[in-house]
Amino acid sequence: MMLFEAAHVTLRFDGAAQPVLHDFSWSLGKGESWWVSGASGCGKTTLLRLIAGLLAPTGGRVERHARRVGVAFSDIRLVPHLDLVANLALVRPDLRRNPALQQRLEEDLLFLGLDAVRHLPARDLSKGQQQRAALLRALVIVPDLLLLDEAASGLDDDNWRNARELVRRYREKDPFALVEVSHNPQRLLGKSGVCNCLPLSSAPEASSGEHVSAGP
Amino acid sequence: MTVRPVLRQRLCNGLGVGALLLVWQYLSTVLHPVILPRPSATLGALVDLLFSGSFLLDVVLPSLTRAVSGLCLALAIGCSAGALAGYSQTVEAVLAPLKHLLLGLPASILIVLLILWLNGGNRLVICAVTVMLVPLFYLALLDGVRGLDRSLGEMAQVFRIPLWRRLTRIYSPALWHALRPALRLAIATSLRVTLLTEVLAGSDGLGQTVLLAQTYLETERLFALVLLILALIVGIERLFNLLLRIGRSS
Repeated sequence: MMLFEAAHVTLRFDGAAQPVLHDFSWSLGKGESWWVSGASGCGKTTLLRLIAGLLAPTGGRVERHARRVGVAFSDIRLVPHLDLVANLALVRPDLRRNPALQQRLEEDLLFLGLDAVRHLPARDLSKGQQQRAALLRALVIVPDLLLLDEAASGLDDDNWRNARELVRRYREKDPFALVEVSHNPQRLLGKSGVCNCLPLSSAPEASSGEHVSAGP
Repeated sequence: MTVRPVLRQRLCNGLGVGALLLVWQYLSTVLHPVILPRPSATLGALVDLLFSGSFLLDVVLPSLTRAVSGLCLALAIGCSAGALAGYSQTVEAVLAPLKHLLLGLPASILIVLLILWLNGGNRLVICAVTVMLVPLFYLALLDGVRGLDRSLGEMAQVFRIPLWRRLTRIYSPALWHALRPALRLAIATSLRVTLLTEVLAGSDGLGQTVLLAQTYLETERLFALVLLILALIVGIERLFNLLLRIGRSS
């Protein structure tokens, strides 16, 4: 089953001389892992926004079939005045009522080292804590598609390993598709098992799914 | 704020009031009582007013009800229009001439026009208060909505957070921050516009009582009414602040 399909997609921002994506064709199947690579400005985040439904193509066709999309944004986007647990409950309202979910949340918070800061407003958390909280927010909705945009850039080695392990555990239980943008292939959060590589280029003619290759 | 600065502030406020009373007392001995009554005589007139049978029920309550009704109506209309204009520049452009008209016209002219069209009564006063306050709430909400964090809106869209939860959990603090100063200003303004309309239209209520006291040169009664109006505005503002504190602590 395809979760996302792009056929000959062009995406050009208003006033831009060149399109970010040009004649881009690509599809994402259930449970697949993809690493999107490329130089800064080549359209990696734009592609994630297109997949998430935050952008519409200016040409071509896209189909989105994912029911629940979890996103860990590069600029985090926790609600600053809500505490960590309230931020999670915002996307998963039954979190406070469901004992099984609560139990799992307790374990996850402890595992990610967020237990002591659970009642702090998000604005008072460090960048690393906010990134881990944003990752957990994307996971607690039990996504069928997880989009990670430089989601581990502020994490030290130990926290990165824990975050990667948490993604693996969630995936083991409920195998969701994963698309990850990162400049560093050694620091992918979804790097377990087979991972496909989708290299994007800033040259419009190269921003095409035809250049997809099997990755690490 | 610690206890000592609060005490010092209260003391300074008390000194300010005492100074005003002293100046009033001195001037009242120099000027004719019809021009400026003594503070003690004004206080006596105030006590007479408050204990004169149905004054609170027949005079104060109708005016307060009109002011509050107009305030609530303006809040509903102004906030709805401001929120829509905040999201849509087309709506803002359509509403711009009306906004300039309402903001540009002096209150007294607007009220005279409303008297011409609505011919007195509760409807006139409530309408006058509403028309005067709508731009205030409109501009507050417009700025509030424009100032909202769009990236949080995208997050809510991706995670499919329902509109009501977005409003109450994500946007309400920012919108309330924009609305609160407008609401504070509107409380006092609603009572001022109510009195002005009642005076100009001769409607029954506090405004008409003020007009009658002035017409018959009952200056002590007039000053007592002014004190009462000030007390009402301060009282309503205090009540508003108390509700805010309760809201914050709950």
